[in-house]
Amino acid sequence: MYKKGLFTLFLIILLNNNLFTQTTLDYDHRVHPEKAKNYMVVSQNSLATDVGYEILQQGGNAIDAAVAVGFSLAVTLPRAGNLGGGGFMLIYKADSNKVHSIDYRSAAPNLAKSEMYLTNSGVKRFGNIVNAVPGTVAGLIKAHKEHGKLPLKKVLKPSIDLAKKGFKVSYDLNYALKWAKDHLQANKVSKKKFYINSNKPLPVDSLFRQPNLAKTLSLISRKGKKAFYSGEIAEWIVKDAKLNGGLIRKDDLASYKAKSRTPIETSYRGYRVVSMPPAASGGLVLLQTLNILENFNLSGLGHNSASSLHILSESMIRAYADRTRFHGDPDFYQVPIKSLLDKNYAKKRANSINLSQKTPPDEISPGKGIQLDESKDTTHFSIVDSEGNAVANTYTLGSSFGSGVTVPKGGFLLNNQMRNFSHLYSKSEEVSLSTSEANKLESGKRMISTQTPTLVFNPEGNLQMILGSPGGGRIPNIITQVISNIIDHKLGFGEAVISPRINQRVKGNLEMETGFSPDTLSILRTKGHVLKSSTTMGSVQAIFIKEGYLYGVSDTRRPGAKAKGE
Amino acid sequence: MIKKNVSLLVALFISLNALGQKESVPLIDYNSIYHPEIGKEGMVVSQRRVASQVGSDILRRGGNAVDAAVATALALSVVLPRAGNLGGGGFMVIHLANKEKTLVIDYRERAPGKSTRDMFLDALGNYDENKARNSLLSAGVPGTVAGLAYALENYGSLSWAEVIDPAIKLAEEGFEVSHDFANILEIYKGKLTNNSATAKAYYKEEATPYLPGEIIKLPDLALSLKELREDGPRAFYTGEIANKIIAAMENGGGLITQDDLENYSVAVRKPVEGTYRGYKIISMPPSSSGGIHLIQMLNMLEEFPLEKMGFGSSESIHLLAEVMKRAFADRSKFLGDSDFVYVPEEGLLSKSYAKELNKTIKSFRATPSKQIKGGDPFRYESPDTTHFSVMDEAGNAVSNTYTLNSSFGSGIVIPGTGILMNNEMDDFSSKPGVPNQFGLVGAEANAIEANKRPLSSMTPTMVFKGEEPLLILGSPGGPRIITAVLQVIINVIDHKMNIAEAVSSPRLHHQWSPDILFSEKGFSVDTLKILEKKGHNLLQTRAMGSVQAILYEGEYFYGAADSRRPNSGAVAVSP
Repeated sequence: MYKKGLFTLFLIILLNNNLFTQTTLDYDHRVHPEKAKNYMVVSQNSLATDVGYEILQQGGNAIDAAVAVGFSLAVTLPRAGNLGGGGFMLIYKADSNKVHSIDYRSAAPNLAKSEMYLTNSGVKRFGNIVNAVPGTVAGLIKAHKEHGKLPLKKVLKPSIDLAKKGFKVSYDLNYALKWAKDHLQANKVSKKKFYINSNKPLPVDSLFRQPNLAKTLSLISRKGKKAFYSGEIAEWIVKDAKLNGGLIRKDDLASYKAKSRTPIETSYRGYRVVSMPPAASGGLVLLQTLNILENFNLSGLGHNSASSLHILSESMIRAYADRTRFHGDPDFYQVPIKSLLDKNYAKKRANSINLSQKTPPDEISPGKGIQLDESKDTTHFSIVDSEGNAVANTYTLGSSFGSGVTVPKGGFLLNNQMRNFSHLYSKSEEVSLSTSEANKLESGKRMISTQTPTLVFNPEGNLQMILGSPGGGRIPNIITQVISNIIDHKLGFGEAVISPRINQRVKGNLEMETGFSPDTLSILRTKGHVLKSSTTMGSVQAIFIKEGYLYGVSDTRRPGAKAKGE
Repeated sequence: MIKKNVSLLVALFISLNALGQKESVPLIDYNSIYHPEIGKEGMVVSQRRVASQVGSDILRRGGNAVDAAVATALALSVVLPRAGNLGGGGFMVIHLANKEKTLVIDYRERAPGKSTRDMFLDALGNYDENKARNSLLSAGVPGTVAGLAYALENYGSLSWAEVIDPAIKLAEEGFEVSHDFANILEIYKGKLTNNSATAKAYYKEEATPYLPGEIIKLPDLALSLKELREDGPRAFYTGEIANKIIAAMENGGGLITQDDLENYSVAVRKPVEGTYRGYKIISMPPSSSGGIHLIQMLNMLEEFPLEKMGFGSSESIHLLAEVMKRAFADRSKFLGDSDFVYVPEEGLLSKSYAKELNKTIKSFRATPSKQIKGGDPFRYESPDTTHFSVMDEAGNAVSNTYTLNSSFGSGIVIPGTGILMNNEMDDFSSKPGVPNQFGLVGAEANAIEANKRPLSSMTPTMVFKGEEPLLILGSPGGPRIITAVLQVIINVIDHKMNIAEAVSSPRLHHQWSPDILFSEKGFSVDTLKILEKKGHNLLQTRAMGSVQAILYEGEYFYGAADSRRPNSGAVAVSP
C-alpha cells in the first residue's frame, strides 16, 4: 500500500535527490479545474458558459447569469437546453444565507389519461401526445423576478443574438442530430430546422441560425411569462397540439405556475447537503444514500476499491427501493420526507448490508416490475457570483431533443415528459416505479424526476459545492459519488468529477464505466455482483469553493462543456 | 433509449473498423470519459492553448505542418518561458507525406569549445550544483533558433516573417497571466530575481510577481524576435543577439564564444525504428536515450497479451514495471552523443535481445533492481521540457520536444534580449569515472567534452500504420518521458482507448534506480495491494509528464492535450 505522509516525502527526497531537486512545477492531480477569484460559470456548452460570464461581467448576479444561461442553452444545446421542458433550480443567497428552490417541472395537461400512453411494447416516446405543459419559461422568469438584478431584456439579449446570428455546428451537435434522426425527422418542423437536403444533419462548422427561436425569445424578452403562457407563443403551441394529436390546451398553459418549495437536506459527516424536494425525487435518493453511507468508513476502504464500491452499490439499491413507492408530486401525494431521511432508518438499512455478499434485490424490495426508462438527456449548470450567491440548475426535455416536436413558428422543441408518470398504476400487482401510486397520472400533476441540483456546505457552514448532472435515473448516484469522492476520499475537485463511476438501481446489474481495475472487478464478482460495462454516466457541471477561490469543473464525459471564471 | 444509444455506437464502431476507417465519420465514443478535439484539416496540440492556436492559424492560412511547428515553437518561447525557448535546444521529428520520409533534426545544445570534463568540480572534487545549474557556465550553445530555421528553410513553405509575427505580437502586446504561470513565477522568484535582466523581464517593479489575469508584456524578447524576423538565424548566431550573448558571457564567466555560436550546427539524424504489433515506431536516436529504450520496452511487451490483462490490472502493471526496470538498467550503461561514443544501438533494438530479457521476468515476483545490472543512472535528465505535435491536411507531421533543461533554464536572461539561457551543461555526467553509490563506474559516455551534446531522454515519437502516421506524441518529464510515451502507445494499440483517454489515464513509472514503482493517483487500491504482495515498492507520486498527442484515423485528426498541467490545448484547424 501507499506509505503516506512525511515519511514518504523524506523517502522521495532521500532516494531521488538528483531527480527531484530541480523540481518542475508538477501537480498533485491529473485534472485541473478552472480557478478564479470572483465568479464562475460551468455549463455543458461553451457558448452558454460565455453568455453567463458576460452577464456577470456586466454586473448581473448569479441568478441573472443562470437565467441567461438557461435561455442560451435552449439555443446552443437543443438536445437538452430548452424552453419547452422543465426543471429545478436551487438558489443560494449569500446575504440571507438561505437556499431557495424553484420547481418548474412540466405538468400533465388536463386531457391526459394513462391509457393514451400505453402500447404493447411499453410507453409512447415521441410525438405531440407525450408533451407535458412546459415549465422552463415560467421557472426562469420567476427566478429572475424574485432574485435577479439586471433588466430581463439585458439578460435575454445574448440568447437572442445567438439564435439570430447563429453559431458554428460542432462535431458533437452534428453527431447528436445523426443519432436522433428518426424521431426528429418524424416531425416536419424539426426535420426542416435540423437537417439539410431533407435528411443530412446540419454540417460541422456550418452556421446554425434559428430566426423563429430568436423571435420567440424576443417576445419573452418584451412581454415576459405572458408571451409564452397566454400570448402568441401559447397560441402556436395549442394550434399545433390540436392539429397533431397533442393534449396541451390554453387552460393548461394559463394555469401553469413555477413553484417555490422548501429544499430538503441532511448532514453527511458534518457537511450539510441541500437538494431539491419532490416533485424531484433525485434529491431524496441522494440524501438517503448518503445517510446509509455515513455508517461506513469509506475513507479507510479506499477510493473505488471493491469494498467501497460494494457498499456504494448496496446503499444505492436501498435508497432506490423506497423511490418506487413514496416519491411523487407533493401537491398530489404526501411524500413521507421526514421518515425517509431519518438517520435511524438509514442505520437500519445500513445494518442490512452484508459486507461480503450482495443482498438479492428481492429481499430489499418485493417489486419485480419494469423500470421506468427515465429521461437521460437533461443538462445541469452551476454559477457563483462575486457576492457569493449561487445557482444550481438542472432542466430537461426528457429524452434527447424531447418529443422531437418543434413548435411551428416558435422554433423550440417540446418535451416528452408525459412518459414519466407511473402509467401502470392499478393495472398491475407488481410494486415498481411504473405502478407507483405516488406518481400516477393526475391532471396538472408533475411527474417525478431524478434531477438533483445540489448544494453542499462545509462543517463551518460555508457553501463548498454547487453541482448537478444529467443522466436520468443515474443522477442521484452520480452526485453521491462526487460528494463522497471529495468528503471521504479527499480527491482533487477535477478528479472527483472525472473518476470512473458505478450505477446500481433496484433491478439490474451493477453498471460500471470504463477505468476500473480488472482486479477490482474480480473481487466484486466474488461478492455476487453481476457487472455490466456501461456508456459514460452523466456530465457533472460543478463549482467548488475553497480558501477564497472558485474551482469550476466541467465534466469531460460529454464534449463541449466549459468552465469559465474571473 | 440507453440501449439504442449503445447499439448505435457499437454499430458505428464496427462499421468504421470493418471498413478500415474509410467511412468518413468522426468517432465520438460515449463509452469513454475523455474526448479528443476533432478536426478534418489539421491539428496542433501544445502545452499552451494560445500557442496551439498560433499553429492552427498558420495551417488554416495554408502553411504546412513544419510552418505551424516553427510558429508554435516561437510562440511557446513567449508564453511558456519555463520550457519554450530560443536559448535552449531540442529535437524535431518531421514526417514528409509526399516523400514518405521521416527525419530528425537534432538541435540540442552543444558544450562550448572551452568546456572541460571537470569544469563543475570544486577543489575537493565535488560536483558544484549551483555552478552547474544557475550560472552562465551552465549554458550550452543554444540550438533552437538554428533548428527551427533549418526546418523552415528545408521543409516549410512560408517565410520566416510569416511564422514569427504571431510570437512578436504575443510578446509585444502581452498575454494574460494564468494561475499556473503566476504560481510558477512565485515559486521560482528566488532563482529568477537573482538576475536583474530576468527580474526585469518577468516581474513587476521590486520583483513583485504578476497576478492571475494581469497582462505581461516582453518588450526585449519582442525586439529579439523582430531581429530574427529581419535577419533570420544570423541575428542569433552572428548578429545583434550573438553580440549580446558574447558580452554577457564575457562579463558573467560563461564559456560561449563567437566561434561557438558561429560553428553551431544542427545534426540531421536518421530516426530509430521499431515495430510493435505490426505498427511502425519512429523515435529519437542518440543523443536521446528515449527512442531506443522506448522500442526496447515495446519489443519486450510485444510478447505478452497486454490487452487481455487489461488496463490497470496488477498483471499488466507488474509486467510494465519489470520491463521498465530492465530497460532503464540498460539505459544507465550505454548512450551518449552518438557523434562521440559508441552505442550498441542494434543490440538494444533487436527483438531477440528483448526475448532474452523477458526470460528473466517472473510473473509472480518483482525482481529487485539490484539483481539487474546497470550503470550510473543519474544526471541524464532535462526536467522541464515541453512537447508539441502538429499535423496538416496533407499528412505531414511534426513531433517536437525542446527545453531549457531546468524550468527557466539557468534563470539568466541575456541583457537586452529577453532570452533565457539554458543550463543544459548540467545534463552531462557530474563525475564521470568515479564509482557511484552502487559501486558502478558508468556515465563515461556522457562526460563533458567540447562541442558534444549531452544525453537526453526527450522522446518525440511517431507511430505509423502502414505508410501513414497514426500517432504523433511526446512529453516532458525527464526519464518519465519515455515511460509516459510508452504507456500512451499501449493504451491506444493494446487497450483500444481513444487518444484523450489514452493520454489522461493514470500512469506509472519505474526507472530501475531507485527501486520504486511510482504510480499516479487513480489506480485501484485492490490492485496496489496485489502488487505489494508481489514485492513491488510502491510510492504514490504527483502527476507525471504532460503528453501532447495527435491520432490520425479515418481522415480525421484527434487531438489530446494532457490535463496534467493547466492551460494546454488541442486546436483543430477550422475553416
